[in-house]
Amino acid sequence: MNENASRRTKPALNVSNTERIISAVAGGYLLCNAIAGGKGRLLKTGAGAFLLYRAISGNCPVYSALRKSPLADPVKNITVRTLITVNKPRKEVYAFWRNLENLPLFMKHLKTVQTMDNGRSHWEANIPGLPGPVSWDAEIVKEEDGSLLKWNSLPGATIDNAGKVMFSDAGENGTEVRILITYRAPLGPAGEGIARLLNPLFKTMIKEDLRNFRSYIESGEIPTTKGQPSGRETVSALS
Amino acid sequence: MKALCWNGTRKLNVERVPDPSILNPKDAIIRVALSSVCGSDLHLVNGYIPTMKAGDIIGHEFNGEVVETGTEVKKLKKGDRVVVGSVIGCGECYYCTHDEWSLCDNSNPNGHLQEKMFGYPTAAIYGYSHLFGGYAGSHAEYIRVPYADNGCFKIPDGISWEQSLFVSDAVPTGYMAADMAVKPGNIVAVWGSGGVGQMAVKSAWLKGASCVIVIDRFNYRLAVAKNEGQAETINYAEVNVLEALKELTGGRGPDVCIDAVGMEARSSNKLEYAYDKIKQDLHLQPDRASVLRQAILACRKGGTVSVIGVYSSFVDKFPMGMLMNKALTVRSGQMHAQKYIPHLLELLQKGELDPSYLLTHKWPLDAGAEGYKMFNDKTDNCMRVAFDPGMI
Repeated sequence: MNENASRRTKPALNVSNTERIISAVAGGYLLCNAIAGGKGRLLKTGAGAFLLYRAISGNCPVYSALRKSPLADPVKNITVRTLITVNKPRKEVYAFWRNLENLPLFMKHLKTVQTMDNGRSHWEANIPGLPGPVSWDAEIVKEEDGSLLKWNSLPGATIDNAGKVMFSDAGENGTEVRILITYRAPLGPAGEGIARLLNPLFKTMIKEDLRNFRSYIESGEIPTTKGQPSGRETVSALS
Repeated sequence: MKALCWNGTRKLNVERVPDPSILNPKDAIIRVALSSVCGSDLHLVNGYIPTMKAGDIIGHEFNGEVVETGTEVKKLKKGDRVVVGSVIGCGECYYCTHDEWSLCDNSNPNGHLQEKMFGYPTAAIYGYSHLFGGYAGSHAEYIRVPYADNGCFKIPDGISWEQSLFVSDAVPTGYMAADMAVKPGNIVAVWGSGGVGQMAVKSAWLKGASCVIVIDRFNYRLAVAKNEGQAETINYAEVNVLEALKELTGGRGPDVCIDAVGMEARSSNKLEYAYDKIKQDLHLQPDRASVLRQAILACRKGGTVSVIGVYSSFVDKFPMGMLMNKALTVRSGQMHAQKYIPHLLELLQKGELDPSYLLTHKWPLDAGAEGYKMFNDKTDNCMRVAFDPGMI
């Protein structure tokens, strides 16, 4: 599975549900009006048909031309795209990511990643929305030294997923890291609604992971206040 | 240990809490010698800064003795007397390595909160709400200092706790205000005659100003600016500030206008103050901008407005047209402690600067709540209260 699978078969959805309903009503009205006769029949027919098309298909060619971004894929995917600039040279940043066993150091949802021979690895993670830890095997499907790393879960994985990280130079001493991660929720029709709910949660988590990554690779530690004192746990005056 | 905790708007209590411990390898634990109040703390105490939680330990301006160091701390050892910058910097990110420490990418574990509010994370500050990291503050017997090699500066021999205390915050803030804007020969006007304003006055002279003017409404504070800072004074409750400034600058306006007041500004114009305060209390406007407005109106054409008074988010009725048509430059920021502290300690050593006159009240930590009340109400000629955890 790769993240483009669903988009190859039909045009991208870029009209929201509310707008689709309005388009359907307006389109239907115009068509009825056109059939009933009167002035501007051709125009009304054309406009009505266009509005009905975008209502039924969910794709508006005008929006596509204007580059209105597609809505989140409703087909059971959690997709996160985000990026960060890191104050370390590109080769060093790449080498750090290439050793996938480093990922749990800053990606909190990952418990462990064990690399095996021939580019394969075994992952264990806590996915938000799923009870209990999940594990799967993955393989690196593409790598360009210093600039691209792409991995897919192997067929038979409990949860299909794919990740792509791109590295490019940023100024004197920095690296732009762009990450794309997709998880296919293993639930049935209910998965669509849940995926949509979980997407922002997941995006927040991945953004936090990237911030942790920057902290770790730049300063060697991740900032924390867990375990510090406060008035929320007071101590008896006698102790 | 004892610590002064924020428990709600205008509710401060001294509680017994656990001692801090090393949580990361670059941490150090400091036994606090003196910890000062700051005008920006009043925004916390008076309920204007969001994300405070009951039980948070406050305080960010302090010095003390190193008692424990983490495994990656290289420059400090147990027993070192240090003054600590209020702003926390990792030392390795783009901003820290460019000496812009208050913009640190990494020191704030609550970066996601700041991304929501400011668009980007900025440096954490001790004891200054969870938006700024949620680190436990310094009004306590001990404090944990992360990235200790960057934040702790050894106090030179012969310099006392009282002399070095304000190098933690008030001095570098005032110095930065001047450093960002003042050129030799400039006439500098400073709004706010508190600790930071006083240090901005001193710093303006150090940067070569030809005349320094201070604006406030408390005569006792204006007197200190006059006696210790050689400043001309304007009491805004008694005279028209814009006219008085024109008078003192040959009709041109000051070259540099420093805002050392921030979001709880008052105004002599009762209507303006009422407008701002009511909007603020109704949560329609988070910050009051009367000083900022006045500074922009007063500044000479082509001059610089230097803002180091603290603001949290939006202000209303901003004189953008005046700013643009007069071609003003605006410089601003939370202070870059680590950039300035070494130089300031040198000035102390050479005898060119002694901020200890700011310390009007040295009180025990147990008097924390009364100390803040006096500081807020400006009674007893109070300039700064510093808490000594060792005092009974």
